[in-house]
Amino acid sequence: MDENVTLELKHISKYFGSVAANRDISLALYKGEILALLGENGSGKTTLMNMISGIYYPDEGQIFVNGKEAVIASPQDAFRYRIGMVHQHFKLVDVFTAAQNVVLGPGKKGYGVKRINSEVRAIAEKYGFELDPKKKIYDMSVSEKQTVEIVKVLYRGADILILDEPTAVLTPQETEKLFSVMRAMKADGKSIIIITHKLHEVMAISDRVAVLRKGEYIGCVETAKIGEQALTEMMVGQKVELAIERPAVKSDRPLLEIRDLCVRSDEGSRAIEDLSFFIRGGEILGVAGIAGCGQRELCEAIAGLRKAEKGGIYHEGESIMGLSPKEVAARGIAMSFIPEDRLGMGLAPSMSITDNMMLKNYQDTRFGIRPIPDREGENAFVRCAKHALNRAGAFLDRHDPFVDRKKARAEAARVIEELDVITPSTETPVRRLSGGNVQKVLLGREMLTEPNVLITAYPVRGLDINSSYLIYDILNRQKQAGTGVLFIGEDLDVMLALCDKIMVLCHGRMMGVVHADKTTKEQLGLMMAGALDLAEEKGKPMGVAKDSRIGEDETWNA
Amino acid sequence: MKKLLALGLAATIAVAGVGALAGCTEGDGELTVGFIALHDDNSTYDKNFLDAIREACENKGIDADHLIIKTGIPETQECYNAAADLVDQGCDVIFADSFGHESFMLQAAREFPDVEFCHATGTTAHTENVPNFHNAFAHIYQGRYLAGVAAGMKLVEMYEAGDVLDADNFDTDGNIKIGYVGAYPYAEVVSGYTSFFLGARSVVEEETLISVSMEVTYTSSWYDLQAENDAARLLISRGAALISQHADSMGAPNACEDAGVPNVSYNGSTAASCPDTYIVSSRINWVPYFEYMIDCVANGETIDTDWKGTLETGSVVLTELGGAAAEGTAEKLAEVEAELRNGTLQVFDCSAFTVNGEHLTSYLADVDTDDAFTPDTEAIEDGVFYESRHRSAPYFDVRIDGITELTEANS
Amino acid sequence: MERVKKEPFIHITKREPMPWWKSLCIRVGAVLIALIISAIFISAASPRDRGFFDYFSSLFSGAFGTERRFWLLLQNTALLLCVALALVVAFKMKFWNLGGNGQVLMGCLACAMCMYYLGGKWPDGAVCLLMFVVSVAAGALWAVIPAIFKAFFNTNESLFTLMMNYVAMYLVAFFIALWYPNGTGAMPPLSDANLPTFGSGQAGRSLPIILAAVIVTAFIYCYLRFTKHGYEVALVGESKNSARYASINVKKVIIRTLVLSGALCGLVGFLLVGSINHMVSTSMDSNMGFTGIMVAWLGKFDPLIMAGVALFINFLTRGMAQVNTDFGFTSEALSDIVIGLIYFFFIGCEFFIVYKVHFNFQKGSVHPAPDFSMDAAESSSSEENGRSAPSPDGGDVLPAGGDAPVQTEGRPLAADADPPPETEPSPPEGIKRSRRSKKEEN
Repeated sequence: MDENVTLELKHISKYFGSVAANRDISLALYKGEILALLGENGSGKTTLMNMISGIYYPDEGQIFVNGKEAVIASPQDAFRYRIGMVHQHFKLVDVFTAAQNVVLGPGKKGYGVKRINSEVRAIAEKYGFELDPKKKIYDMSVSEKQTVEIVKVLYRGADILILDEPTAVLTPQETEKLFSVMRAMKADGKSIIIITHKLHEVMAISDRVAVLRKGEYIGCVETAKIGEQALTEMMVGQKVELAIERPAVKSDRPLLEIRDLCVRSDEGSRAIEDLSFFIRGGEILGVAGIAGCGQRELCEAIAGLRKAEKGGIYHEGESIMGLSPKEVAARGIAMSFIPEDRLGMGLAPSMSITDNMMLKNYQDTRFGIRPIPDREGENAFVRCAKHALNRAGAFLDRHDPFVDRKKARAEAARVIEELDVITPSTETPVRRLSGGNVQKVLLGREMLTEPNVLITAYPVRGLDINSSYLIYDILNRQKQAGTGVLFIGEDLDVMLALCDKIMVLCHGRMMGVVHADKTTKEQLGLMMAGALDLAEEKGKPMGVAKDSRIGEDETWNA
Repeated sequence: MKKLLALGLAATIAVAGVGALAGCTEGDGELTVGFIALHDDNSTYDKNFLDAIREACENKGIDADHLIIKTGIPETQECYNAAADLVDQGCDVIFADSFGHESFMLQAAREFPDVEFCHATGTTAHTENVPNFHNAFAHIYQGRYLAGVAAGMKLVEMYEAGDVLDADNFDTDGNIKIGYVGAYPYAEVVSGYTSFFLGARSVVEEETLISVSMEVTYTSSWYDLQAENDAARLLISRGAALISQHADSMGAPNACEDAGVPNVSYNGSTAASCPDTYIVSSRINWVPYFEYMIDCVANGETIDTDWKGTLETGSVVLTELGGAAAEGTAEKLAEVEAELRNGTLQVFDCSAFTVNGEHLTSYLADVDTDDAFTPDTEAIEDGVFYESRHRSAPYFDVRIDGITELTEANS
Repeated sequence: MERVKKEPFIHITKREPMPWWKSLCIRVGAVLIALIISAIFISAASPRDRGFFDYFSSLFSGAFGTERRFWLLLQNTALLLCVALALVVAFKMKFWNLGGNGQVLMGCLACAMCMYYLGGKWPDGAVCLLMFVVSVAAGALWAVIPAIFKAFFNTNESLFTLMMNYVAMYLVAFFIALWYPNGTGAMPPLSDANLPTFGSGQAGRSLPIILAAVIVTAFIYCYLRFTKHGYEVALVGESKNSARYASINVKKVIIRTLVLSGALCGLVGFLLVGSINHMVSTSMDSNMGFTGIMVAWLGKFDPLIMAGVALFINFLTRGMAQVNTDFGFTSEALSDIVIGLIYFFFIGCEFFIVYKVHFNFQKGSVHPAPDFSMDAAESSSSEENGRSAPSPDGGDVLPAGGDAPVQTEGRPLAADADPPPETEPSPPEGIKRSRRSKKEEN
């Protein structure tokens, strides 16, 4: 028995129905090390860690903590074994202060405000966190909230910490800060498992890497001894090209222009403030920003689902403000937005793929009544009668009460074929599809309309690597076909590789538009945090096209 | 394994079902009685009938297999369906107990002339001339009168005790106030509460120098626990010293028990649940009618078109006296009952009541039911309003002085 | 000092969707078990000397025993099915129309008003036609009022429709009292303007109703499945956002759908008054508005399954009434309990169709730690290609060999949650390689 092993898993399995989320996994964590748990979306990382932290109970296998078998049936048990997990979705009480959240739970000595504040401050300082114990959660930024979560776990005396995708919501600068804190904790003798799918981070912070693939354990290597390429192969199971292409396309005149747009969110605050930008045909414009900085409201405003407060949206020079979603779509603007629950906006979860395909054009079915043509040498009466009949026929034709599923089914089959959607049939309800396939359906539907402007938000959220690259492929093909693509994403590395230009939003305001090949992650990170504002560069406002299609008198309307 | 079990059970049931279908019921020649009840045993009204039919059948030697009872039959086409179904099962006589069943029983009677159809509280047998359709009721007003006498005795006792009644138990003329919870403002109810009132007033005027006045409120339902409870409480809050009712639930007796106000009940003794306030209850005993009905069918005789039960036939009875009854009530009741039996006392003696200050000499009652409720028959003879003479169901709907119906205007 | 917990005794996992005949067997089995248990209850409580099998024969006899009963069973099933279909149209839109009773009653009342005021004065045919129009309109109106409020003010539709039931009931009572002031709240049947029947027997009286139900079922099935309206109803029910995305005017759809829902209830009222009863009472709806809800849910909003459920419910009701009669029960309390028990089993078996229950029969909680060998055995992964994992030394990789004893006997347990969204089905169908190779071709 190795003295240094602090946590050991043996033959752990977890099944949901007949699905094996984890199958026969055995790995070990040593004292004072940072272990990265690497795997694609859907490989079972979070499930495994949930078992260690007591949320799930293993169907097979055993867990050993410091050499003794541990039965962890609830998070309370996990804490008793000094295991603490920081989840992707924070479990904090918004109206409490940081210190109150940290001590929430079975208290040791009561809740004296001064005492808990000082205790919390002590822990934060020990590891180098910047945390104000008296600050309320709703006043905090995302990275501060994450800090509270980590301190919470440390406060309970955790020796083994598990961090689930901690950098997903952080800017590059904040990520660096987190890493330095982690090194401090490691120096203090804590053992840390970090779940991630980002290779850069694995290389940067971890001592060893354990790779999971489709619920199974592939192997564990020392980080220093392996390269990114090899790790990717372990993750995916085959050789994968990591490069994202960026074809050079001669870009066209601006297709979509936004001028001084102001949009309110559901809560009434300004989600988008005085935003101006444009998209050319044949280019990909990326939009970077921390979660909740107005991306959703922007997409909805352009697609016609949300009324903009003021400002202008112009497509090929004509204003499309106030048009219904159907009219906006008719002009060739397609939007696919994948929210956090990944069921997609504009999708009906319990309806079949076929039914979802016809969501935007089910109204257009017609009986197919054709007008009777005029013929030579008819007298006026016959001609009038024919015209009357034609009018009646046209009216009837427009009001065809039946939906045409044949056409939709064919479209669904085409999308399934081209995008490799894994589904039993075209009639499967969309909610039964697993994560990535839903996005493919949504994107496929939008692309079938052959748009000239494609707005896509988080299209690769939750997708495995192969599917992600497929999506990038598709976007590049669209770009080459002359479409203007607005790409809203989370992964800065991907955006730097894929996009031509990147616009950074912070709290709904534009911080700058930069060429992707001329900027760095750090610069983007600063803009995302609001620390760097390039909006007024060299005296002229950014985001206004020189060869704009909007006439002078059409701008600045309220 | 589970599948086999399920399949096996399904097969068994299918076989049993087929067997049941094969052996479905039909008449076997013995005298069979069918009964249609509006609600079930939980309603005092129906329970009265159900107990009586069971007792009558037992007395006449009809076993349980030949008494077919259907409960929960509403006053709609369902009644016709139930009657027809009873005929299918071989009944020779069918009885229905609620007013609204009448038209559907008539419909069935016309269709099945070989079966006798009897109906309580109905009014159209004597005008429709369908030979196998008959109405029945009893001179229940006499029972109500007797119950009123018992109430009067209690009022006198309360009055003479001096400390039981207080100021708002008396109206502006100095008369004791009593209250009555009625269901609908029609003849059967009016007849009931008027006879009750007359009985009470007779005793109070005899024993004291004051009289009685009564307030009546309607709940618009035969069985509505909450409404009856609320109505009783309203009357008590307006100063009623005693309450009676024509309603099928325990709403009013419960309210009286809670308030400690004496209660005269209907259709059954409430002594068990209201020991402190229950005085007496009047009811119709249907056993004599049912025995008569069965005898007629068994012997091939015609049943009366309008059968009216009386004190003599034992159709009108009082249940036992409760603890709240005044002393001497039993003797007084026996005395009055004897007078009613030998005819020396008529309940609706026109000299005993006034309408707008005057005694009635003539009154046209609506005996032959029609849509417009036109009065058609002279009911008063020799200074007496003869109730239940021209047809079995009551038709006394005169509003006499001393009784106020509470409406929006005066409540 | 750590407290070691025992593994939980009962462990529930979600099942895979099972083939339809299997779930049907479970449901039939549940009903049979319920019937057997209730048979034991009833025969034990019977005042007469009736046995276990008499219960079943009474049940069937009450529902199917004579020709008259059979037609009445079908007639009542037809009415209930119509009401349930009316409700399904609204339910598919997630508009919880609890006002079926009131809408039926308003249809009844409107029909009765025509009969009362115009019967005998206008020709029968004209009155009948007017009755149909007015009943349907009255039912539709009763449903559309809550719909308008929901569409424009987002009021709670369950409460609104529920309260409208009482308004309808008292309106009926009002009119009966108006027409028959000296009566007891019961109305005699009117003889004019009765709807025609197919002959004089019960079959003739029931056939029009059954025919109407068949037409309504076919219509609703086509409406929901094949028309644009039906598609919009499903979409609005799914999510209002997706509906807006499809440029559907959600307000219009809500109001239009409730007009249909109420109109169908009004039609039922028309049949009840015009064809069957020729009079109206406050309980003419026979609570079908609520039973219909049960039919709709148990029938999973599918018209054909709903027909079966409606038949079953009426079978129970009529059969149990016969049981009461045959067994000599004059209080309906026991039969009501028994019917409730049967529904409970019927609905409760859904749990066993969706979930599987495991029991952990092991005694003791913690097993001694097994030995493990220190060789660098490879993992039990099935995918061997592409793995370039460097061979680890001693302590890095733990073996996943098959010799370590593993608890597989009745799997160790915990309460499960739903699988997390990231899980992919296993074994995966694999992503086609063609994508990558196509890319390499460019």
